Amino acid sequence: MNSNQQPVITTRGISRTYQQGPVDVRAVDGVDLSILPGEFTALVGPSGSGKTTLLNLIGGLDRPTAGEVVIDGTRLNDLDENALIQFRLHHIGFVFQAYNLIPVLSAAENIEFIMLLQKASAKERRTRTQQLLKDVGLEKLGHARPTQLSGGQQQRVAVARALASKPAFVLADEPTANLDSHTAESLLDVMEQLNRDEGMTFVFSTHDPRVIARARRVVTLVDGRIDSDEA
Amino acid sequence: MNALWWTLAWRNLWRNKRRTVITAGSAFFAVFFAVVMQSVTYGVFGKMIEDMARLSTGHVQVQDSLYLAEPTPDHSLELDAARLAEAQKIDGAMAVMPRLEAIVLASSGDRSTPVQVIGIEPAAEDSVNRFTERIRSGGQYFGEPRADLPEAVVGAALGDQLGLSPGDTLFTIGQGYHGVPAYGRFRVAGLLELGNPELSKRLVYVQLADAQHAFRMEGRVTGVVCMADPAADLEDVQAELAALFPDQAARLWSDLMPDLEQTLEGKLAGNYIILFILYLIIGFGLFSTVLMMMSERQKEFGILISVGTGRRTLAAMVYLEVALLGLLGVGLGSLAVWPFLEYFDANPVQLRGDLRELHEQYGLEPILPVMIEPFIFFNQAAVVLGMALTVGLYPLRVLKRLDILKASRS
Repeated sequence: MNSNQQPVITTRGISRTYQQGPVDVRAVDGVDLSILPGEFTALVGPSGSGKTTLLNLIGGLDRPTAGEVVIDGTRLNDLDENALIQFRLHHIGFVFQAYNLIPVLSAAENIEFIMLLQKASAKERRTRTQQLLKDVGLEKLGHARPTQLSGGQQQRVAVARALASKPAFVLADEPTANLDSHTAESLLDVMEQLNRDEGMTFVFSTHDPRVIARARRVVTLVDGRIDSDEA
Repeated sequence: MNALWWTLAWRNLWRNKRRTVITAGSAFFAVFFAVVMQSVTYGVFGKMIEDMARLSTGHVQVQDSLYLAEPTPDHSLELDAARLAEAQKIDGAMAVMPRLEAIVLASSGDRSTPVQVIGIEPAAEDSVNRFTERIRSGGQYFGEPRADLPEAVVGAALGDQLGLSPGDTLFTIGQGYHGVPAYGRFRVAGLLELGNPELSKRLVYVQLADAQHAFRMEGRVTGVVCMADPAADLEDVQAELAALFPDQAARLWSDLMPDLEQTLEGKLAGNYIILFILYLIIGFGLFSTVLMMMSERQKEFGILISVGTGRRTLAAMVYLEVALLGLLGVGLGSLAVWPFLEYFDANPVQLRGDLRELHEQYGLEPILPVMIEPFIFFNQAAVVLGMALTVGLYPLRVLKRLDILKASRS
């Protein structure tokens, strides 16, 4: 990793406070974090430690109550709702715990959908979809609907979908939580290979020791604060 | 719009097949029943207007401009044979016939009653009204002209009231042109079964020339009646007649029989109330489907926005789904009802029992006619589709306010 590189993700003193009845709950509390391009980082910590909230803040799905988030040189705090959606579309790939593919579209169409939102040409969409299916080892299952795929296969499609927009990085929220051990390992292989071969940055929130074992950087959160940051 | 959007919308429709079938089915039946109802209503009204126009005013009538307010011989018009011939050639004019109408007192023996004498051209009127088929047995329509007395064909009910039979003499007294007394003496050629009891009690048909002579109105008539082709636009025919008779008024049947028009409008208003209730039920059905659809797919919408789908894009996608749902029902409903009505147009429902008797009594064919006009299909389909498109606005509101984090966790 080159230390002269500009971080792709920077958070400066970000906090997120929720109102829970009469009590203010600080889910993320003054987190400073920088992620460089090409990192393979796991955000870990016990339930309620703020992993998912931090991921949501980095992904522009939620707004910090204090501090700032800078992605690829753009300060997310300055973007309005529509600009934020566009920013997510072009800069951030998402992988969710429950895959969340569009059930009525085939694997290929799910991947193509993101490029359609980006107004990519038909030729580009077709070519890139085939390449991504190949990258995740599903080149023969492009026509299959999500219900015809196993959990692991669906999550691979979700990874391909996350990469479809050529994002600056991929945020994955507990990506292996619903997968058996073998499938989880296989999915991690795919992501690791994409990270290694294409330099794609991955940030995971996870409890899964298999993911933690593979991560090259592990950031541990406790009570919304960074407890440790080990590379 | 890219094909994938259409694919997505169409496939989303069938995610819950049963619900889509039920919802599209409700739109289907709404269109089907609304079109049938309106088609029968317009069919019956059309026939009623047609019958009344044939016997009474015509579809369009050229009159002196003051005749409508004050129907006296003084407000008659000079019959110009050349213009009459021109009027026959108007596009959409099926028959153009001069008439002279006057209210007189008629008597026979010691009985008398007010009647309406109508001077007609017998052959032309017969071609429109088929009077020869309605003459009560023992009489005739108009026979060969005879030197002694002019002939009259009398409404059967009037004939019965005055005790008239073919060959009897009918006396009339009234007011002619410029107030001169007008006496008439006619030999009854036949009694005419007009069906409509009101008309049967008051109509006396005589030849136009005899009426002109009796009322001292040589060369004049009170109106030129035009029966239009069923496919013709009455307002076009009216405009052409108005252009041909610039000094007179060309009036539509609705101006000449305002009571009939109001009655029909009243009945149509009743229909609209029924249709409104039907639409309301269908509208709520559509709305409940959209509500359920939005509720079930909160998470999906949250995820789609998370990965970069603009709220407007998503709203357009959902709107397309609802529009397709509406179009499906409306399209199939319109397609199904068309052959259904074509069948009943070719094979009208024959009325039975009291309704049949009532129709026959009024000289009307005892059938339930239907009207097949594009506007009926278009109007009903447009209303149902419009409802679907209005209901489709609800998701726009939901998507605009959607909290993506809450939705994604739902």
